[in-house]
Amino acid sequence: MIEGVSLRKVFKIGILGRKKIVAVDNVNIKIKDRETVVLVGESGSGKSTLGKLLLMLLKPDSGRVYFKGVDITDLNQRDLKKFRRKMQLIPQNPEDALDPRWRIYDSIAEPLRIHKLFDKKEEEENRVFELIEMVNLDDELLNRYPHELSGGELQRVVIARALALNPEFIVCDEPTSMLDVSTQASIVRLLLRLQRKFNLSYLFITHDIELANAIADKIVVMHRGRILSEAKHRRKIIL
Amino acid sequence: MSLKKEILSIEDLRVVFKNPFKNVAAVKDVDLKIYEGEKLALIGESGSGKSILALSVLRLLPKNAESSGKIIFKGKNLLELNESEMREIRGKQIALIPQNQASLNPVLTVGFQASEPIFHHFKVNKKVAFDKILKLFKFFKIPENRAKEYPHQFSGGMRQRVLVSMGLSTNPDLILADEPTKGLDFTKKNKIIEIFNKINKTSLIITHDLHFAQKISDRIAVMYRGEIVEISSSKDFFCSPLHPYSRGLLNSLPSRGLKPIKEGRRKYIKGCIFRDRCDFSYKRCRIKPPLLNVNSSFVRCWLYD
Amino acid sequence: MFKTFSEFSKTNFKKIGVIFLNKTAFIGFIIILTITLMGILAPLIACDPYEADISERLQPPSLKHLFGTDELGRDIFARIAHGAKTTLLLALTISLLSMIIGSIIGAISGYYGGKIDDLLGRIIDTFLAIPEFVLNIALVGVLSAAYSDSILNIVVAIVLTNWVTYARVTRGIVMSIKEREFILCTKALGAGDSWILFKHIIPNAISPIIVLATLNMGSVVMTVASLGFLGLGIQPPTPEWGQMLNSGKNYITTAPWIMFFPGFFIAISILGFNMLGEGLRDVLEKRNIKY
Ligand SMILES: Nc1ncnc2c1ncn2[C@@H]1O[C@H](COP(=O)(O)OP(=O)(O)O)[C@@H](O)[C@H]1O
Ligand SMILES: Nc1ncnc2c1ncn2[C@@H]1O[C@H](COP(=O)(O)OP(=O)(O)O)[C@@H](O)[C@H]1O
Ligand code: SF4
Ligand SMILES: [Mg+2]
Ligand SMILES: [Mg+2]
Repeated sequence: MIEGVSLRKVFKIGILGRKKIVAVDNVNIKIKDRETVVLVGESGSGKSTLGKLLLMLLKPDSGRVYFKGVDITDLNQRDLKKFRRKMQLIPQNPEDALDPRWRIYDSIAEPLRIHKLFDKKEEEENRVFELIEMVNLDDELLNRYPHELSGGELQRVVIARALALNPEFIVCDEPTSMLDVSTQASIVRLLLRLQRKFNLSYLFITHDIELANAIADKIVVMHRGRILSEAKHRRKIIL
Repeated sequence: MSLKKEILSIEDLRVVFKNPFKNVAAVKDVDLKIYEGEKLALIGESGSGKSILALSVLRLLPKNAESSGKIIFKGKNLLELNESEMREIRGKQIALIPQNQASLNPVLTVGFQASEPIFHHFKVNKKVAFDKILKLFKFFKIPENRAKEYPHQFSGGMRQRVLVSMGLSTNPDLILADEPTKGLDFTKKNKIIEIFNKINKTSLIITHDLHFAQKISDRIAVMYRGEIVEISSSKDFFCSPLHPYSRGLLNSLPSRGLKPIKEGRRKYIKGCIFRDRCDFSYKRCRIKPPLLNVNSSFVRCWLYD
Repeated sequence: MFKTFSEFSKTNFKKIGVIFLNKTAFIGFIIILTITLMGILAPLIACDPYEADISERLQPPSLKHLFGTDELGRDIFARIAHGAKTTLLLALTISLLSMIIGSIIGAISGYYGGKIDDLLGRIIDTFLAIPEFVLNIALVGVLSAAYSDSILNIVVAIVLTNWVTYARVTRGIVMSIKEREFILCTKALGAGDSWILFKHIIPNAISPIIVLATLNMGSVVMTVASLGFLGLGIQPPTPEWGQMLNSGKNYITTAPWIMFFPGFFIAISILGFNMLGEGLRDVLEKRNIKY
């Protein structure tokens, strides 16, 4: 599905970029079709940066990213837009993942509008309703603003939005670390169900080892920007 | 258990927020005792009223909140004390270890800030206060030579240790810690567990992290939508939880099957507050259950009547 | 079904309600409204502000002359009311112009960063190094040597220094919005720069800018009045509060009302704008808190 080869990313911070942080250092990672690769590691070890590099939300300083064998590393904004439909991001903090001034309906419809998928309002509306049903939300929420929803509901909206373009690969960046245990369980189960239904591949970032054990096909441990170990795993939760 | 001396006793506490549109009770009918020397973990999902409960003990609630009931600390009802009497208790007898990091002042050195409570409450000079805090820093493995640095030069876990030292510095009788592990990854969490096991103080520790609660507490109180639904010893709670909500919480842990509690209607309900999500609810649950005594535990559920 | 989305929803009603529930904003709003009405209705409610009647000079407040008369026998109430129009119009024009110029420059520099941003940073630092009012005086001086239109001179002089505030604040706001997670998410969906700038960043930056503009109106009123007091502002006989204050200073012991009323209105309109701004800030920026 997606492959990163000798990826490296250095952040320059401070005045005139005097201080350098090697966030990702010569990392090779490969995620196969329908696979859940769980990326664990302490905070600051470069997990999010690696996720963003694979999605080309950051440009690597060196190394290549291949999506289904196509090198997407040097594409410009317009060419990349086609690939963006196939890969998505579910971020850590659902409270900040949606524009606070947009109604939930508009936020879910936004990807459809960006890619101009539908001409008629009606078609767009049907798709939004279809998506909201997929993540088990009440359509009454569509008319509300993000601050009027709970964390779990927001994360479902974020998932619905990420699914709008029929992606094949999703980076889930600690999608449940801000949620309560019970909400975490239902969100993770939802992600697993969707994975089976749409044959999705996940890069699932977390620092909860038990959660990793429950859902991973492969566990990759990161430390200070490097991959420390990589092991096949058998998931404990089978739907 | 009953032989132990209670240090704080909360009776029939109720906290109501007055809003322009409606009044919301954030804490309802809470009865809770904390015994000398124990560590009590208060767990529950976010928004269940844990922080508000702790703040009402210190009388630090937002202005639009009103509390009623009794909070007895050393024979005095804290809700009836005036502000200057309260200031004597805050920080000196009951210390709050606030939620992570942000509560440190960025323009003061950590050592100076941490020594402030000693300086205020014991009227010693700054040097003595500073030396005292250095001892505590040593105990929690904060290098002495870093006491003159600023909070931003510290990592998240170290800042947490500074807050703990600061809370302990006045040798309080009771510690209230609000979510000490929030936002920390597992290595840092383990360090915090180590620290809390090192502290020999009566403490109320608020957390939504069940694993953390298990590692550090003697007893567990479970809060749900402003009410306390179960109080059990830590051992009992993790082997055989009583309340259906407690069971649901444990079953949703990744290591125990990742099974969520079913969703509810989230509206105001009469009777048992968990009724809309409970698998066992029956006719009787339309009346609110009292806090029932089962063996050495308490549970607010009709199944145990 | 779609009608419900365009409907004015319950939450919108709530928001408007909150503005009136916020005491500070409400009092500020009433003050500004009163002064504005005075300015608009001046020709109807007050007599001619230019009509001098020497026989009526230095009269204390009475029913005939509500606020008394000045050293030339002109009705002070009439001059205050007409002055309100001048002052408010000036403040509005200056704030709007500086807002438009400043926030566009600030937004571009905050969003794109790089060289443009470095340049803007330098300019802002330079302006911040010189006290704004001193710069205003200098600019008015230079301009009035070249052009005789005092109103235009004041507008240009104040806008030239005032836009910097907007640029600085907008730049900061835009930079902080740019770092938020929802912008990253929108990028991940495939949105380009202009989509993100116009659909997300600018709409989110607008409410703090409106708050700033309201607060800024107060300080512009102050600057205009100060220039007037120094004789650098609107030239007599056009009524203007600062200039009225100046002309009354020789009579402070014998006819204190000449100074009192313009001073009072300058103070209260600044207070009004500040209260409205602070109140709006509470309403607009704390909206993310759940009820
Ligand atoms: N935009 C950025 N600018 C500068 N440094 C950054 C930026 N993003 C991340 N970093 C740094 O890179 C390192 C890795 O960060 P990150 O990938 O977020 O780690 P993780 O997700 O594992 O917690 C950290 O030291 C962080 O401070
Ligand atoms: N300032 C406030 N005004 C109104 N309601 C509030 C305020 N602070 C908290 N609440 C309400 O009180 C409840 C309990 O909050 P809190 O004690 O912070 O929860 P927890 O700490 O368990 O996550 C929440 O439902 C919240 O909406
Ligand atoms: S009282 Fe009834 S509804 Fe409430 S928890 Fe017990 S069984 Fe469930
Ligand atoms: Mg991260
Ligand atoms: Mg809390």
